[in-house]
Amino acid sequence: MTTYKSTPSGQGIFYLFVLPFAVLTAVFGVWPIILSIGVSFTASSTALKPNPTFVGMANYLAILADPVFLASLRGTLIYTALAVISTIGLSLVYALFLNSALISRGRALFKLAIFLPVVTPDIAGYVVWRWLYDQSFGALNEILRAVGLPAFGGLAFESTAMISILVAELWHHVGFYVVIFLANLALCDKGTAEAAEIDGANAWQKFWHVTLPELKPALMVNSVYALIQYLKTFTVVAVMTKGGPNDSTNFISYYAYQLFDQGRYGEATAMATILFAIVIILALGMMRVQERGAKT
Amino acid sequence: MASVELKQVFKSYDGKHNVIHGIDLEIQHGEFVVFVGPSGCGKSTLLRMVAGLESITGGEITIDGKRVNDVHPRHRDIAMVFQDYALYPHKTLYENMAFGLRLRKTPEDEIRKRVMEAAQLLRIDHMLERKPSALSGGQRQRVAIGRAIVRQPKVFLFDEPLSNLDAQLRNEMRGEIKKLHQRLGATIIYVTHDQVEAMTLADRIAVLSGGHKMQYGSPKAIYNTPAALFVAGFTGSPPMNLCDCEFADGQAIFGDTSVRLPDTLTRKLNGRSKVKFGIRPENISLTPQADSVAVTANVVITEPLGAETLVTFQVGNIELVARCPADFDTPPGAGHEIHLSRQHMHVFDAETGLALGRGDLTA
Amino acid sequence: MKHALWLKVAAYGFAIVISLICLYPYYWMLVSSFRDTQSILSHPLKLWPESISLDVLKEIATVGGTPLWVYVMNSVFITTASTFVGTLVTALGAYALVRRAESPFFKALRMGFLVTIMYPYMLLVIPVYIVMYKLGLLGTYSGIILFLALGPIQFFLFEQFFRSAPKSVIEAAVIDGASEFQVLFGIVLPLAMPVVATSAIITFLLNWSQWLPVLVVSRSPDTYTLPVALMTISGELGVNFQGVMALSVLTTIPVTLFFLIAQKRVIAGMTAGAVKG
Repeated sequence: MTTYKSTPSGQGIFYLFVLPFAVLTAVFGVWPIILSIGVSFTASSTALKPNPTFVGMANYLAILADPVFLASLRGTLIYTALAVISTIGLSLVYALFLNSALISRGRALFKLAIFLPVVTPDIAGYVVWRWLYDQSFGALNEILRAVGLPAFGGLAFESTAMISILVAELWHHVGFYVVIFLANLALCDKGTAEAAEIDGANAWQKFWHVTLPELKPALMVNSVYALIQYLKTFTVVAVMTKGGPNDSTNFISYYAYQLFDQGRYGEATAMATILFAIVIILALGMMRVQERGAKT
Repeated sequence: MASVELKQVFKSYDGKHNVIHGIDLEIQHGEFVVFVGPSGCGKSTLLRMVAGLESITGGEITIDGKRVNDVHPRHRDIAMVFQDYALYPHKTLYENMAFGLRLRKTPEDEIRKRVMEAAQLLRIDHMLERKPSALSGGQRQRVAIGRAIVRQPKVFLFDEPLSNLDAQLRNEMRGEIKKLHQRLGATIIYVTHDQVEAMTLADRIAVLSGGHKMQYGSPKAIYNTPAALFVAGFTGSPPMNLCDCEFADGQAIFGDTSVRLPDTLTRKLNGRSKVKFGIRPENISLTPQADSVAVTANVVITEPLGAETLVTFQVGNIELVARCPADFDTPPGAGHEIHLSRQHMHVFDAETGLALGRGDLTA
Repeated sequence: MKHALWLKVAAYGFAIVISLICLYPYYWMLVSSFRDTQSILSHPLKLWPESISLDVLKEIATVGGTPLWVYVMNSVFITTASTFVGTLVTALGAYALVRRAESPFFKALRMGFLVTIMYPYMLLVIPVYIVMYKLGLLGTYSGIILFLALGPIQFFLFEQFFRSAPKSVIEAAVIDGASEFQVLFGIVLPLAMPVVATSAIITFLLNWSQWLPVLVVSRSPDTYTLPVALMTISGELGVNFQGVMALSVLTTIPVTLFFLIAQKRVIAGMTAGAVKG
């Protein structure tokens, strides 16, 4: 933008404007991250002391030899993959559905209904879901019983715990992705779709060759955002399963937090650093892939 | 009122490539100067450097003899009118115009007096309590001009002020800006890509291309004696006919047709054999004129404009557009004799594009 | 395009079912908060409470040894204060970052902020705990409020607005004689008021729900907010369904109402910049 070279009155004041933002970003962002990476190389017992003992890669070696951590890492990645795919898939389909000519009135209400859980305090939502899933008094199994279906294992079994928290998370998050897709769809050029129709494209071809390319901005934002969000999955676990049963939902965030709670700072921060690296690598990789896709 | 001077002004954004290449200009007290050129020629950048919105990479800009390179825009005592009006959307028209005066701690009754005067002059005094969003484009631009007037600055800067208006409104506002200048007698620098605007408004025009000053002079001088091919092709509507030609034995050769150039021009060619030949459409007539040369031509297309008809003729291997009377009715394909005014023939160097001379000028 | 009637009916049926699934947990929570625990356990599916039982308010009047009103006041105070601080700081910061986008220092700062929001938020609280400890902010309201102040959605909202704001208006003000201070407070902020409002509402909604930062910085329930109380105390209430549901309702309803009033603005604000940028 505008530049006034060598007019100090124009320059200095922007440092003043940015100062509070810079301080908060530094104190509650950059500094803690650096600190955390630093702590991951020190002995837990001395981490908070003035002169922590440097232990090199010991914490990293310890957690990499920890079967619980390795299982947790695997679980986190599997869960993230499932969650990203189902979030993007469901929100895309539902946004296209709401945007179609089939829904002529009441679109705003349906949008509101799906978005409401997004602004619901996540804790309250997950507390309710926990009871809905309950084996003895849960509403969900009551419904299944009423229609004669076998009971759902819910949070009580290793085999169903992950899918259960995924459903609760989808309930909480999908609305956000739906409105982003809808916002993108509202920007789409109707003329292009009509031209494709005149050219003889069927519904599928129209979707594949016209709508989907136009949705690229939303797809990109949504997938990167979902990736970052699900890799960090925490609250739902803390409320609903505490990592169980038998560590089947003990994702890295939660596991690291437990270690932190036990004062095992070095290992906890080593895990945080590894997760941070995974988030950055995957997010950047995803952006790179999509940018390349955009060019062709 | 003030004079403005640009001395060897350079601009570069990256420190490597110049976008303004050493421009010299002087603008006198009360003069209306227009910077004109196609988009990307650097005219707006140059104006913004005078305003202080862009830094000056090299050279010097003075206002009233005082160097302003390092002076903040708000201390240069200038006012600017923007293409997109740039009104303050949340302020009423009155407050829009009063803002600059308030910042300068002008007494309230003085502010009132100046705003009312300007508003009456621009015929917006009945809507001073409205917000800009309630106004049409033309009205908004009046407010923007009013905001500049009340400041009584040394220099007015206009950055394509009429480009966002439709054609009819543009003509109307153009007339008003000219009246305003005559009334205020202010120094004005005005940027536009529209050569008609430049010709009608300016005392002097600076034609810019690719960050270079191509010519600086009165509209008449620019039109009659363009200093370069670029200027010739940019001014006039339709612009000057320009074509490549071979030159031999005092004759310009266009395929199977040749035209004898005036001796004054021949002398200036200094033995060149390839030149650019130019003649304006109004210097081609259907009847013999004093010192004209006749050639046979074929009608290619006719474009009736009402008051006159533009006719494209094929002469040898080139096409020439001529302004003809409205009743011209020779059908396309038919032959017609046309007469080129030898005094108004131009020749330009084929490589540099610089003017070599005009038929009636001996200098 | 004309669709067959049955297709439209099916489409509406589908949309209504999805909407009901989204809304059912609310409804269940609301109904359960009025029913005593025994009835909830025996008939979880009841669509309407047998009788309105408000005894629960007595049961949750004190939660975890702290009066309920303390949590309510903490929630209101911490959320309001962090919204105010966050909106002001983000607006000024984003404005400066956009106006001086080419300065290396500002570029680095923006990068730092972007990296921070990539960091697993739940794990950021671990080192922030250490920072708070070093700064002596543990257990203080200031610590909680400052930590909650910044957020990515608010930042992108402001950045998007300042980037798209017509720069000629700012230039006109500069030429009119305004200092950068006068440009900001006289021109830019008045123009940004709708964005300020949107950002403040979004910040309020998001911060009301925050719990881990509050929990980590707190040293005692004296600074807990409603979600934190719900998190830590739902165990203590054991199988007191009604108590847990009443606390959930208390945590949820204020923001739900607030959202419903401002829903257009919130949805538009949260999507701004995501697909236009």
